[in-house]
Amino acid sequence: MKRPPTPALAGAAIGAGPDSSVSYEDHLEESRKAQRQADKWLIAGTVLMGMTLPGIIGLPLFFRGLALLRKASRAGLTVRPMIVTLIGYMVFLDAAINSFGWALDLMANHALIYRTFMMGWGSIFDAGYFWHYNELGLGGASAPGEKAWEIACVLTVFPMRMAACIGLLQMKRWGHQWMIITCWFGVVIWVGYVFNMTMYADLRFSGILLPVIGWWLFDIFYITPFLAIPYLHTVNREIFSD
Amino acid sequence: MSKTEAKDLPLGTSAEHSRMHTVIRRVCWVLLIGLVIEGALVTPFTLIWLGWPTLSIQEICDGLTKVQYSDPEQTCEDSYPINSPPFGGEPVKGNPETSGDEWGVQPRPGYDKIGFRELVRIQQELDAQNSTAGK
Repeated sequence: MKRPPTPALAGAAIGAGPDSSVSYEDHLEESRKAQRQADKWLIAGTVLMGMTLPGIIGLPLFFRGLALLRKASRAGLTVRPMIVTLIGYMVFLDAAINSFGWALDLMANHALIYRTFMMGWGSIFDAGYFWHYNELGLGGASAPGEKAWEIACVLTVFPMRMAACIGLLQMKRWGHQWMIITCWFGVVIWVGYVFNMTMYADLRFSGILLPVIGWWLFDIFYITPFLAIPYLHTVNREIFSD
Repeated sequence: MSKTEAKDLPLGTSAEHSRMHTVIRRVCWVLLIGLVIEGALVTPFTLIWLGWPTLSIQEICDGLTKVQYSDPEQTCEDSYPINSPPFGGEPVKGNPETSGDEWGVQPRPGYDKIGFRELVRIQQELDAQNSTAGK
């Protein structure tokens, strides 16, 4: 967090700390250092996790950051609540992985490694990425409507949501507000995408290995907006400062 | 709720929402770890299912294209110039004659699902046919 927390919150945390004799400024400085140290690990882990394959290396780094945050919190320092950290990084990761896959389908659909993987994935979970793959003028997924979702999400909602996550993780008021907005966008995406897919279910789920249930098992981890929204609407928004 | 319990609540969480926030936090753990593990494993799982490392990436691409169009003659181009779609050039043509699709407002593909390392078997059969024909 670049900016200090509100005095009311900081004061509460000082009272809860093991050493109430430290000055307010010292407490804030220690809290900032602890938060920054934890965020370095959390960001490094998330960068690797957002690139999919190196995620296994990123996860321990991420856990290290969470452990530092927990330790600081138990020591009475004023650091970000664990649930805000989890929601912020989880929603960021959701948008990052989605952007990664769809941006490649938009721009790199003729690269051998990508089209082989994508057609292979499509032949298992969703033939929108297998059926006549790369035959559209833009290349990539040929399922009706799919390309429009890719462009809409990769160029608008996902970057907005990632920016919102950064604001939320900095405990900014605009971060909280934009998380609400972009998570509701996420609801629209989910409903629109699933119904578009259902309209063309014959095309997308015929002749593949794990139709429908396989798709849901794979994609259920991306329901993050539905999880974030109830929290964002019930948290005391005063903890997010202007 | 006692004073001690209220004091233990995370910042921003009121007593009436504490249970819901706890559930959300726990589900966050599941989703976050799930996203990471799935993201890391999906590429190796897909490639191994399809036949790697017995088949090269190029051979897997070939095999997928043959299944896509139900046509053993189909091959997968090994490389495209940078000005291929979406940056220009012609998209892939495939073979609509052999694909076996039922065309209509809601098209239905005509291929069968690909079983575990089935592309290896298809490749071996084609190799055997080619060597027999070569003899």
